[in-house]
Amino acid sequence: MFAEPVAPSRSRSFAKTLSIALGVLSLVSVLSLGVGTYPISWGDFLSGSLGDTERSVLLSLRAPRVLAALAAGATFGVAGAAMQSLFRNALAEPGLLGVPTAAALGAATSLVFLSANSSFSLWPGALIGASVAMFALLAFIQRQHHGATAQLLLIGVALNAACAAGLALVTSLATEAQLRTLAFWMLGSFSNQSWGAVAAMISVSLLAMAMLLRDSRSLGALALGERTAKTLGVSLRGLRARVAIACAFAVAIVTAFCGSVAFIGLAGPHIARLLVGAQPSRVLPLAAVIGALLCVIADVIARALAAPVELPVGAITSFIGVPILLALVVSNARLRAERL
Amino acid sequence: MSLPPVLETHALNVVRNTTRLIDSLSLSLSGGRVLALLGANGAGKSTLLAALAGEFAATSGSIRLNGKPLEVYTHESLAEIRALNAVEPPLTFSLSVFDFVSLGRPFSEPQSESVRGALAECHATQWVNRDAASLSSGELLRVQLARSLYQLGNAPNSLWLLDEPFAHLDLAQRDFVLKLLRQIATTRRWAIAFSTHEPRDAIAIADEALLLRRGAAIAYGAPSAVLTNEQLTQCFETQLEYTS
Repeated sequence: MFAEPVAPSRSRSFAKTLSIALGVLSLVSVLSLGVGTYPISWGDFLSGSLGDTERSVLLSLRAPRVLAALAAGATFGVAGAAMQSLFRNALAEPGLLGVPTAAALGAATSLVFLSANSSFSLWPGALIGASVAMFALLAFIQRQHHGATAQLLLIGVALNAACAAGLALVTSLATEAQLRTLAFWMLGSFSNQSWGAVAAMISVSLLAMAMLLRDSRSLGALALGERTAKTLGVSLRGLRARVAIACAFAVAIVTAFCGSVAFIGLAGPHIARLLVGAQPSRVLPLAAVIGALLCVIADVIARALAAPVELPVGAITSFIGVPILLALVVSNARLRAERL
Repeated sequence: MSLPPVLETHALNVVRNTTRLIDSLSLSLSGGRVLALLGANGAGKSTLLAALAGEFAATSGSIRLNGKPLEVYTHESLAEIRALNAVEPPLTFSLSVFDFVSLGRPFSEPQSESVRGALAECHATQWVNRDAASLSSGELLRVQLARSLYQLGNAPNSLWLLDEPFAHLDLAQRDFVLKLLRQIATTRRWAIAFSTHEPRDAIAIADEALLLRRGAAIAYGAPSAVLTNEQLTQCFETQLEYTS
């Protein structure tokens, strides 16, 4: 006899899981303030006797950096979870579908042709790039009937390739200084964030989270397929546009300031689903928290592992995300095989 | 004062790219009655059910639900009095049967009692904690039916549309679902319309049968009068000796 696969109703444990995750996130975030090339003593911090250098390191380097990691992680986590529900696909994620590459292309274009010269003035270009990519994806998806998994990923791959090619062309026209700014995109980093950038990221990330959470019940009904969701009272047209706009906007802003932070949009939601089941009303908030946690941890690793050399955080998140992706693909294949 | 029929169509036409999918169809179905739709593949059964469900606007003619034109209902108000069971894509993520059924009313908090009640009516309570993605097609159908029961609750004069609900069922499951539909129609005064390829299903539980060919009604009335050898032969354009 085989044991019956059980998916227990986990609503009671949801509040508990979310509070624990938030607790861990707060703890890790505070602790991470002390990690880096310049050590900060917790004794001095708690007794309020920090030196000027330490205070300045903490306030103008560490704090904005941790907050940027939190905002970026939460954004990618919640956007990934929402896109997976919207596209009805476990592999949908801003990165795999080419949204950050499109944002990078938009930003690079504005940098090279419109002489935008700091990360603060790159975000309109990034936003336009990300939005165009998101709506292109949606336009293709709406032509397909349900279950267009392969097509979606192929479109994502094509979009990614097209944007990468565009990026290569634009880069070849860039000056030395522009190239250095652009290199930042490819690697991803939470360092050197201004308080203005941090404020922008936090507000857009909270806004996107609020928008997506409002739609979490509609996204939940989409699990049954678009047709059934519609007969249950879900208005698909508005839903698609709202989710696309929220995701594109938040991902574009974060990408504009932090570059491409890979795989958080995949790892965050899938870990969240393992903990609380697949209902988006539970997955979305938890995916944001877990995404934030992964980013803060990745950032600590990035600045501590080879200090004083700083490692690109995008590479660290890939190292975390790739095994999760592979495990997912393998377990998915096994699940489908068992079902047949 | 007599209530209007739950469902009423008048001279309904659906045309897509110059192809007439539904051809001036008029029908009427009261609460407590069961209608069976029969016809060859491509005759328009699914199109008709989709039009009746309000999934798209008819090209011409009218559909009235409880006396009001279908167009005046919003998505949400329609979902309170009309349920549709059609083929659904496989689930992307695992979802407990409890959560699956509670999606019948996606915008309200799950009512545990009602969810379990709906599952009990479909003899599916034993799967309440199972992963819905792991159910067999017959089990899944029963859970989908429970979801529709939960969706509509006890509201009288609801319309329940089912597109080939028996397609993958064994004899015992088919018998169970037939009896369930009959019983729901009678006890809740719902109007139920289902499509099937099996005339026996219609004869077993339906009050009315509609035989479709190329979107038009060949015969419409009591199943015993509609499902005769002559009319089945005419409908399927093949000599059939079906009923004795």
